[in-house]
Amino acid sequence: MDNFVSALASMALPFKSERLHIREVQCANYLISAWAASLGEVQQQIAVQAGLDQPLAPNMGAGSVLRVEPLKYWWLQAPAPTLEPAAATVLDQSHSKAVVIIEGEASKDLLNRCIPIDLRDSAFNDGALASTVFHHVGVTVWRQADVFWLFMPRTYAQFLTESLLEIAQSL
Amino acid sequence: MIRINCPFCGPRDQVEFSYGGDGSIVYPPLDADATAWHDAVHQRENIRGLQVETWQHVYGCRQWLKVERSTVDHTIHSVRLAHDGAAMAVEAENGR
Ligand SMILES: [Zn+2]
Repeated sequence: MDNFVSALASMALPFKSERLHIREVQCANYLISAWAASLGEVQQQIAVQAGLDQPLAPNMGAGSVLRVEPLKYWWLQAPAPTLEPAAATVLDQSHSKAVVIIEGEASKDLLNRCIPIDLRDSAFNDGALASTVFHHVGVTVWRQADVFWLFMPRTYAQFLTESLLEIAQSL
Repeated sequence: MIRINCPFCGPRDQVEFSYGGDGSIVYPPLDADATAWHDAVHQRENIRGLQVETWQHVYGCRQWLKVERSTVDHTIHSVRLAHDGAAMAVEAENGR
């Protein structure tokens, strides 16, 4: 991912309060698309190249790869994995997303005010991810230990981050 | 509020989905006559009871789903990915 230009340069980030920490991260994003017939092979390949113990379950992420759709993955670091074109295509979409990391004991309180997803540990634990809707905009949330990654479409990122920061003030 | 149990994502609120329409329509061949196409595109049963319909999980996994829903009380009886290959792949994984 070359020539990173922040979509959030004008925002008051990082945000720090006693119970919350929100910061922008620069993050590569390669979209890997398998075919139904090649999914098994691609599952294995991705696990091997990402150094995972087992293939990724639906809506889970590990290391720096996320299973976002039945046949699709996001690979979050450069370089992209090497896959046979007949098995899967790889597309660099790094510039399409703005990404913030939300940490702190109020992280769930903050996200619960934004997305219709059950974030309790029993439903959304380490590695879980969900693509969902935040104020009519499609976003993806990924939990890594006690940290939440929020992937936003670039063109809506300021609007959504403004909402996040506004809500964060009250927590 | 309808909640749909997406085979890939689990139960999600209706706001994440977009309604497609009658999922039971079989479209005629491209060279079929105008009447056959007219009927396939425009003629719909107004079902009271269980109906097969398509929904897209557009804000989630973006898959098209085939949903059996009661038009009387909105109870959802079954949900399956509309794409057969993806459906089989996900069903195999969920049964793992
Ligand atoms: Zn889904």
